Amino acid sequence: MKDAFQTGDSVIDLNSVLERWSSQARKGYLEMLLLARLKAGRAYGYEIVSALKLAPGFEHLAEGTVYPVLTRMKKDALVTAEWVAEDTGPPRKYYTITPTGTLALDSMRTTWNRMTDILDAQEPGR
Amino acid sequence: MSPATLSLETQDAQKRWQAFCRDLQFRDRNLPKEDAADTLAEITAHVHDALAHAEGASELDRLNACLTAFGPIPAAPPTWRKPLAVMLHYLAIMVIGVTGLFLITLLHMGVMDIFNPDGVGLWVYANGEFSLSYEIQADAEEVAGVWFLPAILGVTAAISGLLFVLYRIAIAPQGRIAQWTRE
Repeated sequence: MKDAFQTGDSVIDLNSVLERWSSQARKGYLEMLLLARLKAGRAYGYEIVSALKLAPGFEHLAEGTVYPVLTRMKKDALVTAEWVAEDTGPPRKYYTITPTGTLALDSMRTTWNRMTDILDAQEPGR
Repeated sequence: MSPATLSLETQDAQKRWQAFCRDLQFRDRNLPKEDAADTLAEITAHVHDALAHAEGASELDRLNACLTAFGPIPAAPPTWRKPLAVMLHYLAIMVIGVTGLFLITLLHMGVMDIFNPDGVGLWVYANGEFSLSYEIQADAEEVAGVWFLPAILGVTAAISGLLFVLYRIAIAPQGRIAQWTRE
């Protein structure tokens, strides 16, 4: 992809524009992706982070940023957390989605689908 | 939640982990103790899991890779900074208190100079010593004359300005040194 475009007197750096957009978009997707992972079953921090890193734009995610979001989601009653002792290694904190979290995910998914529909409608031939 | 520990074999890796934990405790210093312990335990479990998948020639390399992937944490200040800041904080209080009393005396002399211009002033003795006095001094000459009052006001304003700067830095809650005392 071309990295820079000349518009009049200024050169637009496309990569920096996309990076800015991607950074904002990631913040918006994060809770939805976390809820989606937890809907598939309860999981602990590292497991959740590993799943999240498979999503586009999240490959280089700073892993520590997920925990404050999980804590906030717990406060919002979207998830619950429970410590489980392990045979080897330190205990792990498992997160489970709540019915409220499932409702929130469904609503987010609806919004996401509507957004996709709108995007598709802009380019019918695509 | 009982305190979680990370099992590391090499001393280098243990030191690195302790330094990371110290930074983490600094970052979470304003959290309730239970929440901070909970966070530490969760991150310990995370790093334990990440270490099992990390690549590196040594345990330290693998730990560094895990901590880099975890993301930046604000570094804790050096251990000497808080005691030094506390000392400077109280020293500043003392300096402002003592100098403040001196300023009040200077201002009082300025006011009294209006009523007794011949007696109040800066007196220089024959042997070179000098004093600020409210009364005429024998064997001494009053050197400031009519400029005594403006000089007193100028000196008072200048010292007040310096004390205010010292207050902003070392005593005011938003000042750098006062902030260091709360670390």
